[in-house]
Amino acid sequence: MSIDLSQFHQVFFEESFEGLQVMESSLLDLDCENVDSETINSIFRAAHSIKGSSSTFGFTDVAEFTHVLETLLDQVREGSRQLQPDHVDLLLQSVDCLRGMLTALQAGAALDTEQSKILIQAFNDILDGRQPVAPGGEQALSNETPSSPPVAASQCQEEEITWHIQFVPDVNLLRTGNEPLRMFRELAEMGELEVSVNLDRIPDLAGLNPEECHLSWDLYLSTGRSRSEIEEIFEWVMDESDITITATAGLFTNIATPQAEEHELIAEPDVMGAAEAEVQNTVKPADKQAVTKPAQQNPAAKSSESTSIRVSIEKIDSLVNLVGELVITQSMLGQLGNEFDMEKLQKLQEGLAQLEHNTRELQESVMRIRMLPISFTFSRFPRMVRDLSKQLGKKIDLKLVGEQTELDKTVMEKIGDPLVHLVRNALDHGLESPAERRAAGKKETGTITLNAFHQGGNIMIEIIDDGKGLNREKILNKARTNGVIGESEVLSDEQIQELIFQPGFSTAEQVTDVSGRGVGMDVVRRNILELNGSIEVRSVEGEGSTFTIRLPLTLAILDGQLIDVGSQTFIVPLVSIVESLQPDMKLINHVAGGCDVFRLRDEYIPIIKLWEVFGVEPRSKDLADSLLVVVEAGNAKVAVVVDDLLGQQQVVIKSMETNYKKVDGISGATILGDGTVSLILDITDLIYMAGEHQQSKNGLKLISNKTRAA
Amino acid sequence: MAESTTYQLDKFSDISKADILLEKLESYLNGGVSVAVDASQVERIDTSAMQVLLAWFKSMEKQHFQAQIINPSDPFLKAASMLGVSEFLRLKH
Repeated sequence: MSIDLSQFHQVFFEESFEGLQVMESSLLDLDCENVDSETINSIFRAAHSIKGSSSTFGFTDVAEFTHVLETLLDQVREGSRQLQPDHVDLLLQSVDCLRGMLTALQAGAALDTEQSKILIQAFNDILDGRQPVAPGGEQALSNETPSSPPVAASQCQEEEITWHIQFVPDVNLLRTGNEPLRMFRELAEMGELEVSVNLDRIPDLAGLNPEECHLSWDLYLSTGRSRSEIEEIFEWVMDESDITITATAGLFTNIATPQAEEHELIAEPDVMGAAEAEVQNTVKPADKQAVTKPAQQNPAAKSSESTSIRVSIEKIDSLVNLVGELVITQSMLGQLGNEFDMEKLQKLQEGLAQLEHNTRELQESVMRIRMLPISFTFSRFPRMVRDLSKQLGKKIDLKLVGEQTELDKTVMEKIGDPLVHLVRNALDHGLESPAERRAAGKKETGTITLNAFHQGGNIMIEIIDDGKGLNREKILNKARTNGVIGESEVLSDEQIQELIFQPGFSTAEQVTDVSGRGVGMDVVRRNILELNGSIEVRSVEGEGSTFTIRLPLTLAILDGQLIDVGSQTFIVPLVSIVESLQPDMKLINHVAGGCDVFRLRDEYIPIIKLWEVFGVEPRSKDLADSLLVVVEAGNAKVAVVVDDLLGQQQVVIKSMETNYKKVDGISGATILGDGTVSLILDITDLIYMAGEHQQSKNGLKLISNKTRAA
Repeated sequence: MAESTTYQLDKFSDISKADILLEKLESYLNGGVSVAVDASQVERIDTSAMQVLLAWFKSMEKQHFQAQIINPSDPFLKAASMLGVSEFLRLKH
């Protein structure tokens, strides 16, 4: 009887990825001078397990690869081989390579074994003693056999490979602040880049929406850089766009593709302007009917979000207990219903209270199942910091605090990329080189701290560096040059620091470095806003910067305050509410331009009339008859005028985009107890809408709409 | 003799002004004139604006009118080269 092994594939992949995680973190802990046998054993066990399982499932390429690295680990374990720092580098590259192979297998994509073959060769060379890799990793076997292919991992990094990058951007790519030109420039800095554009999808002028992208490209990059470095350039557009990166055989000059034969443009990073169009076979643009490949999905790149979750037995047991209690309550209520008379009313009320209690506990328990410690996200940073500090020649100490802080799996998956961006920025631009730090009277080793903790129903993540901080003057100058602020506009330090999140700082073509910050920060903020979160920066020049991210614990349920405006009931997220009050008319001032402001202690807060924003007829337009709900989003506070405050309750969020379409000022909808649909206010959006409304109504600028996320 | 006109491309031609560029170029489409876009002042151009020019070239070709870019600045040439569109815009280096 044959068994269908494919049913176990998911478990195999999950366990293998966990094994790779163990290998990576243990490798990072290894001290080559004083090798801890237990650490080596755990790396060996993980590799051994992956080898065995992959062999069982018929993934022979993975099994063969792990076999060779397992052999090296075995020798180190036995003490017959001294572990070298270069061995650790090679093993870490093997972890990356294996992760890529497994990801491709999991996605059902064709396996690219080119990298694994190079690494296998490098391991075999070490094992055969032909060319021990010296510390620094610069030596290579090719000295011995000049005609042999590249072997050592360090060498294979430097060996030029021509990568074929098929880039079919999402139609909304430009709209989201991503700019192909910038990506291509970064690619051109890596090596020799050939760009071939495909105009087939471009409509006539009359049918063109200039904010949509109808171009696609075939790029050929000849470089010594790795695939992952190329992927990093596309990291913000990877999910939405179709990107296929393949290593092509032979050298750059030998590539002959249908498109390349038609027209080839060679662009070099330093002489871009002098790049000459080498038209090998001139074709009129309008006549050009280039044979285009259909957009290829890159399943490997799309499968980064796992579809399953591991749950501890304790959490399952707790659920089973709660369901048991629910069944008992339901049974009791059922019986009561069958024999009900008014004498049993109190018992019925007690039963319903019990049911409510059970339901709430069950709901909380179910939500807890989706909660995972943030260490799942943090675990990628030690490796990243190690690699980047080497690459940048900086000494960096990474501190992880609050790794056990739990948050929703979906939120965690979505916050990964923004965090990587922020940490990389801090490493690359925030922290100074050892020489600069010495000159500034600081320790040579800079520190980056990632700190996660819960605060008031939110999870807070801080990225703290003790580097040079944001350069106030540079940011101001750049903002003025780009027209983000006016020449005479005076801003506080906080407002200046906020400027780094402006789209102008990242979309401007010639801006690549604003005091080391700025590229893509608007995209970071937009990603966080999409999670109903916020990001703030505090920086002291010369002392460092702290980015603080605030995120909801989950995206599925929201604690809301029900409010009435006319005949409509809206929901305000409780987390946004500062306070609710009956206004004292003496504290309300009508300022020039027509906007009302409310004095709340020492602050003047603009008043937003919801009936004006949503076009609803209120019960009363007299503020004296209304209530004010003071809400906060980012750094802005506004007072929302409502007719009545109803109760507070947890609501299940239903997506507007999925069920209807995006509506400005509304983040979602929910169904209330009486079956009516209620809209959930998007406070950030609402503040901007109100700003625009006031602006258009009477010229008063509450909040610059430039700060509005796209 | 066919009429011709010249349109001066903005110093900063990017997505924020691409719709204005599109509108302007579209107005030339039905005018029955050959149009030249003067790119001498361009200091920065992005993909969005470049795409408008490409669509305009395409539409002009269809109507058998001549579209051309004249006096392209260095940043313009670099951007066109980097996006692989120099040939389509018939740019000379």
